[in-house]
Amino acid sequence: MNELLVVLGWIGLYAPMALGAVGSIMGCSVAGQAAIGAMLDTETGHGRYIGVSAMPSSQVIFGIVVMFTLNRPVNIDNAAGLFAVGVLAGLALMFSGVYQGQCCAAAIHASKAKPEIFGLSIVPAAIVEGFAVFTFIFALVISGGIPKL
Amino acid sequence: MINQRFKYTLLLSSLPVQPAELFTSKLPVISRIQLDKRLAILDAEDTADLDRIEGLLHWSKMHEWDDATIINRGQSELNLIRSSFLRDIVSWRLELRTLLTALRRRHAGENITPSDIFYGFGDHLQFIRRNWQKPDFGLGNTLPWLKQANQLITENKPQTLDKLMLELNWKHYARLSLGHYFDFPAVALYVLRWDLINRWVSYDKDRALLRFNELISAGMADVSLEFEGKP
Repeated sequence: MNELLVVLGWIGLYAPMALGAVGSIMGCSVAGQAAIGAMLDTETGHGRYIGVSAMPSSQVIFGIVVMFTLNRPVNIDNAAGLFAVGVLAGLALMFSGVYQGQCCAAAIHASKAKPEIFGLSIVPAAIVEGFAVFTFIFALVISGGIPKL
Repeated sequence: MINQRFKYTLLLSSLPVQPAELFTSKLPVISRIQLDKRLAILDAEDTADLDRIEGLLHWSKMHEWDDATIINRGQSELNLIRSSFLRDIVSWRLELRTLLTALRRRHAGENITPSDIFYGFGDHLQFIRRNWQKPDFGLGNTLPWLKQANQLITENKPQTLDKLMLELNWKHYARLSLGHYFDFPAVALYVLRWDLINRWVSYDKDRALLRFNELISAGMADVSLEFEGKP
């Protein structure tokens, strides 16, 4: 049982980074495809399409910071806490990355047809980013309560 | 899940946005050659489905078979389309054509009784046979456009009727597009809407007259009138 707890603790340590990366991979992939498609149909504004398509990369950065904050010797006292905070923060970051990618793809698609709405079209993606930031900040805050030794 | 819903993000983002209103179009937003180049991104199964859909709906891809063969082959082609959503789109359009055919045949003086065979697509064939003499085949409540279409046929206004049909299709496709942004149904709907735009912008009175005269001249080329050259 103790060994299992320790394994779960290690999973929790690496989960924010791994799941955040999965979210960023999927999000950037979808948004990147939209950006490349839009470049085929437009003559200008390519830079901003690529810029928007990179928005979901922040999740992996948040994941790395949470992972380093959680990083400590794993033992049976802190394993459950590490697992819970790490996995839940990781899942939230992963889903935010995926769905932010979808928002970015929609924003690129819409602003391609109507360039004047570019600023407004990225608001949904920014709101999703806000939720990722909540996840990140409160993972840092709550990790302060997990025993270090 | 995400892969299917965002399978053709690149393709659909590379296609120009179609107008909200069909009749404001002066030209297709993309040429067929360019569209076909972009559609090369589709995987083999989706390409086959799109070919089937266009084969069933595009007049230029129709064959001059008898009614029974057209229906049987059409039904078997329809069953090969993998997505029920896309099968429904095709069925809806074929059913619309069946109803229009029935209106035209009745206007031409044909009489169908419940025991007669009436070839067509959709679930309303029984209704059509049973209610042949009713202006809307008893389907006016579910298909309100039928009365209008019947009136236009009676008043001999084919162009207005064609416009009504194009608008019906356009609005139907627009309604179905909601919720499909980067998946294969979105691609199929884009192509079907392109077909509608292309058909609308190809309406040209002068070209039609020219073509009509050409056909008349070609048909009359071998005909010599007896009184020609006689004093």
